[in-house]
Amino acid sequence: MIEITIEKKLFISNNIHKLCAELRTRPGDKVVIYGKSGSGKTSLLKMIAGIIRPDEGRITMQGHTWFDATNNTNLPIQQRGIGFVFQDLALFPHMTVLEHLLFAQGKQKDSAYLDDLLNLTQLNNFTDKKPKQLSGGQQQRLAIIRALARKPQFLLLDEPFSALDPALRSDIRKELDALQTAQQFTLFLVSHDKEDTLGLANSYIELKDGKAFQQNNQSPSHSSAIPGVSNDNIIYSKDTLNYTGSVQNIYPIELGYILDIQLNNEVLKLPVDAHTASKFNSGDTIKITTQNGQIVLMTSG
Amino acid sequence: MALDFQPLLLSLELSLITTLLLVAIGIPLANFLAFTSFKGKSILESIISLPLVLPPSVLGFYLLVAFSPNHFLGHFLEHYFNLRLVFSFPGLVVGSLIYSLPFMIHPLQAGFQSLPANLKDASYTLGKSKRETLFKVLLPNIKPALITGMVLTFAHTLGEFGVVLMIGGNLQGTTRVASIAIYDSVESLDFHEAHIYSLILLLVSFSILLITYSFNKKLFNKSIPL
Repeated sequence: MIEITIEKKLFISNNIHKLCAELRTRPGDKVVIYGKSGSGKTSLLKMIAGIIRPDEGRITMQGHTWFDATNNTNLPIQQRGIGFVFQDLALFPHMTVLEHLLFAQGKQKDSAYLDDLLNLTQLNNFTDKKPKQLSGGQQQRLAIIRALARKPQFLLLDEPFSALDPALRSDIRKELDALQTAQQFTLFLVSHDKEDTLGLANSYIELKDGKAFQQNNQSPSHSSAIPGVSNDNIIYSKDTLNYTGSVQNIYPIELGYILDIQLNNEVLKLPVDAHTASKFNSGDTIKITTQNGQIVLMTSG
Repeated sequence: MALDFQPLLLSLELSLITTLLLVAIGIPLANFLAFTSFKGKSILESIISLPLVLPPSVLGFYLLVAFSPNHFLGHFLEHYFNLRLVFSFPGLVVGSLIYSLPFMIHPLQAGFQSLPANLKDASYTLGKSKRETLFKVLLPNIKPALITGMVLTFAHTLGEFGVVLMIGGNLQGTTRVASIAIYDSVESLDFHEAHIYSLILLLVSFSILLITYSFNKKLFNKSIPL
């Protein structure tokens, strides 16, 4: 189990904000931390990495205590077995792509693995290029595979999609997903925009007013998340939702499908992903409920 | 009378030794100053920068007093290490190290501080130690600053006069460096010798700067702010 309970006074724009975060997740989970700018997302990620020291609290990763304020335990960054992708990428200007990977890998010397990383990210023809000679997308990929070169148990990414156009974002998401599936590392991803990460994670943490609110998707199929569709369109409610209606129409949009659902006298237009859309046909009776703050669609009867 | 080249060789030797020692001292010290904040940092930075504003004769005077066997430091060094720093070449080296310290520290510190903060952290997250990060990540990215520091230190030591005269005097073959030899020649109205020494120092200094500028432009495609 991964348990993080931390408190930290942050100085943001000359103001002091207190951040209190408590989150629990399982090894191999994909966790997205989102919130407005200045909410302390990057600081939280850096506290997990050990770059910033929390004031109070405890970080326990799979039985290992990384930080405990009560007995002054603070495991050095180097020993945490993490990979970190910085928002500004922090690539080393004097190293080529291959030199980045060899430096990152250190004594492990697994060239077949490095070849796999290079092939997956299509950087195999650019191994002798320095960061300045690469495009934005290639630099982003290099930052990700550099972080993965020594096979970390935890991958921490700070706004990995913010500077990318939608097509590139989609490609890198797929690559990241493939790498996570293959290596089963625990992923912590920070984003200012939840839209960018919809469907990517099975746990979402919102930082708001100095506090962390965690939402777990126990089963990804319960999610109606569609990349590119604002989550504001999806009803999130702490109250239990229970509606029954009938599917009138299903039609594709750019990034998914819309279900037209007849509820009493009104038609609800609900955006869903392809997987969810495939479960329904026109005329089906549909039950709409909520579970763990996520909307759940079920065929009824 | 044949020209005595010894003062020139002594100047070059002093400059070279001072530069190499200051590279070794300056890198960890500038790295520390660039990334650490602590109480009293301003005092330490002021002490390091003092030779920039202090008349060399004042620094030389204090060093002369400190190195004198009649005072604690001089007595301690002579008694326990058999080392006399007044009127000796090692004394000139110690004086030059102090006198030229800001010329090495300032460019290096500025170089370190100009690097993105995440570069260091990125290396740490890859499991690299502070030492490995310094030598394999930070230093290779501040090469122009390192070259600037080395050139400034070398040239500054080469032209050193006040400190050298105060703590070293004018002993032929030991402390009589080129700048002292020029002064000595002028004092004895040997303008011919003074001309030759001065011309050689001028050409050496100009060549060092010319080579450094061309080298830096070619290698790093940027000029260095001296």
